[in-house]
Amino acid sequence: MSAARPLPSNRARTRRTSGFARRALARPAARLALALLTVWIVAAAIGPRLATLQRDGASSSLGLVLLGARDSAVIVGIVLALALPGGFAVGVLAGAGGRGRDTLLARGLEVASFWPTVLLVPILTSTLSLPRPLLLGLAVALGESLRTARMVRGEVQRQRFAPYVVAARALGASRIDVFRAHVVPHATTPILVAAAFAGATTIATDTAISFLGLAGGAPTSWGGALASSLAGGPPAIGPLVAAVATTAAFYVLAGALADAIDPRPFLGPR
Amino acid sequence: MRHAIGRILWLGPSLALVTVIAFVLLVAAQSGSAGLGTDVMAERHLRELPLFLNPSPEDVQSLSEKTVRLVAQDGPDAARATMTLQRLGGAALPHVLPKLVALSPEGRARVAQALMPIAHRMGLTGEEDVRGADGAILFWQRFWEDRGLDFRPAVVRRAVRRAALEASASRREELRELDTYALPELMESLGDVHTREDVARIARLSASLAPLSASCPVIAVDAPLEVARGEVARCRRWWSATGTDFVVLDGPSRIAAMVSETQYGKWLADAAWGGLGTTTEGTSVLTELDRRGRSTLLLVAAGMLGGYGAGALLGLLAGVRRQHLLGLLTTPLAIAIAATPPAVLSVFIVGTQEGSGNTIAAVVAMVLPGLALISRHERALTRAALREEPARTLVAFGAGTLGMARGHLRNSTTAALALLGSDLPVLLTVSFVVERAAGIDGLGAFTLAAVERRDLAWLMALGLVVSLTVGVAQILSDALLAALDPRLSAALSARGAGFE
Repeated sequence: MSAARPLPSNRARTRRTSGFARRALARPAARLALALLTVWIVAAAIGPRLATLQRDGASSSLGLVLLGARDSAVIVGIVLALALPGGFAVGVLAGAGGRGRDTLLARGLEVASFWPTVLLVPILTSTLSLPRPLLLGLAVALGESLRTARMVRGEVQRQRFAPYVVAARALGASRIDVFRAHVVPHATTPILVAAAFAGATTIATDTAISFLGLAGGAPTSWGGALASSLAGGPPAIGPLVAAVATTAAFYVLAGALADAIDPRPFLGPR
Repeated sequence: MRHAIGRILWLGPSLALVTVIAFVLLVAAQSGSAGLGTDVMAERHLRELPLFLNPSPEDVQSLSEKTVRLVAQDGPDAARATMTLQRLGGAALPHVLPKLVALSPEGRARVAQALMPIAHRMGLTGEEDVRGADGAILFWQRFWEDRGLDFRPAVVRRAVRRAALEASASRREELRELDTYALPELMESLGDVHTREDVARIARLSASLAPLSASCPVIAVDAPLEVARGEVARCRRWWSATGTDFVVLDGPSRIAAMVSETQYGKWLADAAWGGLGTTTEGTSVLTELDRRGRSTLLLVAAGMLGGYGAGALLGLLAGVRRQHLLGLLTTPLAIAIAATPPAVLSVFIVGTQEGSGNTIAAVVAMVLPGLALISRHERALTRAALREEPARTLVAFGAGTLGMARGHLRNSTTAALALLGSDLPVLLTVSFVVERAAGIDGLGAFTLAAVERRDLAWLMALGLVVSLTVGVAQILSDALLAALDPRLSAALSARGAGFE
């Protein structure tokens, strides 16, 4: 007897993905946020070259914005590259495992989440001789991977007993197929939200760590420019606006993605 | 309930694991630093110990035998071994002098001469009294024949008890002639410092201790209680680091020393019996936590209770009245506040205040980020809750804004509660930023200085306290969540088999 495999076709999957993107970008604020983040990525890619072409070079406000864009993009990139796959893997393992494995991983997550970034960054700085963006990225990634793992674990546990998962199993679909077709797609969506939050958290942490004088000063980062301005240095309006705008864009996008996950209409009083 | 008890039971092993990981990281961070604390010798001695397990802990017997062998061989390490032998002093004599005859004539001469500074410290002879190697050998042979019986625990105990009761030159002399052999008994007799009588006793004992260790200075009879207590604590720290060099480990004490004679064991003992350890500045960690922790606790509590409470309420209203002015204004305002770096926010708020207004401004600076973030979560959760069937029914029956808000208060507060435990480390980071901006002398300033100093005791204690607080907060928030949402408690009890 051949096992039934209730897997969605490729076309259905593409339709679902484009539907999700359409819902997420339905509001103008979300589209503006995406545009801002695109500008940020472009600035990170070509900013340092543009900054050197300026009359005052990197010391001007625009120069600091352009150079800081590269710095923040590198840190955010490291955080996303480390936190999302790591958090996803741990979350899935914990959520899909039995009580023993789940308890062990959940307690492991707890242990790792105990130490605040403000203590973690200087310890990592003293222990590992790595460049500042990598150190900061590592420290923030730890916290963010825990957040992602927690979200994914919750989602996987929710999906485990969903009626369609039980039905698919009853129809003979293998555990791996059910996991691939039903659980992973649902568990992937929270990652997008986690990624947007991670971007915002990273930029805020960079400023806090620079302000406290930990992890060494980085004159090229937005946080470093703001910290030196707060300590009585030249005003850093450009980096401030850039940091706030980028963080706000991440938050707006996170909200839009979270809203898009649940497509049911809003029925509260208007 | 069962789940909560399980979590509480897990907290112990979790904290132990946290301390182990933190210890490894901090020791690795410390190894690169040049600066040592106040007790340089003790700290250096500590760093030479293994991290977690010492399969062969050194005691006075093994150290004496090793150093005697090195001195007798006159190899490249002989000079260092001579210094160690002299540091071990009288405590090493019962293990060295009876075996002098077993050494080669040259080795015997070298060891006897290496021991002579101990004889000077004991006041037994002036340098001119003993001439050459033969004189030194003869001197020590006669010394052990005459005084060997004095090097027994009962004799030392009596001598220390007499010296502690009353100060006299003869009693001091008696202890001087026992040198470091009397150290364990002297340290035990120091006791607690609560009254003037305690200070007087410690002053009498310190006269005998001072020549044996630079970390135990002479304490005046009229010294203030705090000063005497501080000096005794400093002396105990030195003893905690080097004590086993002067005692014989056998039986259970040797087995215990396999763990206690490690860097981690020393920290653990110091933390357990010495008020969470001692900072590199010489003060008790517990005292510093008590003194500085209050303002930080106030800020974190303000951020948590004020920020999260107000944020939950605001988010709930904004979620329910999405198209009204409140709903329309809350979102951009919350995003703007949440997106502004806490450092900028606190300098902006605190910088406009003077004097006592600083604390209020700092509290406001702590409340705002929490308020902004939670109101966003709360709003999203309220909107999700309003998509559920019960909400549709309420709307169908014509429920108004307040009715909807009241009906969903219980469900939608889960966002703030879920983040209560996990956001605590973030709030601590924000409080450090706010403290710096407001110039508040809280945990932040001391911790940043401790990071510079590589103050292991402070950072470990702070990590432990933060971990314990976060752990308890997470258990509390989970218990509250389960109480508020019966679905969650049902899921927790149903949790069992793997993915099916």
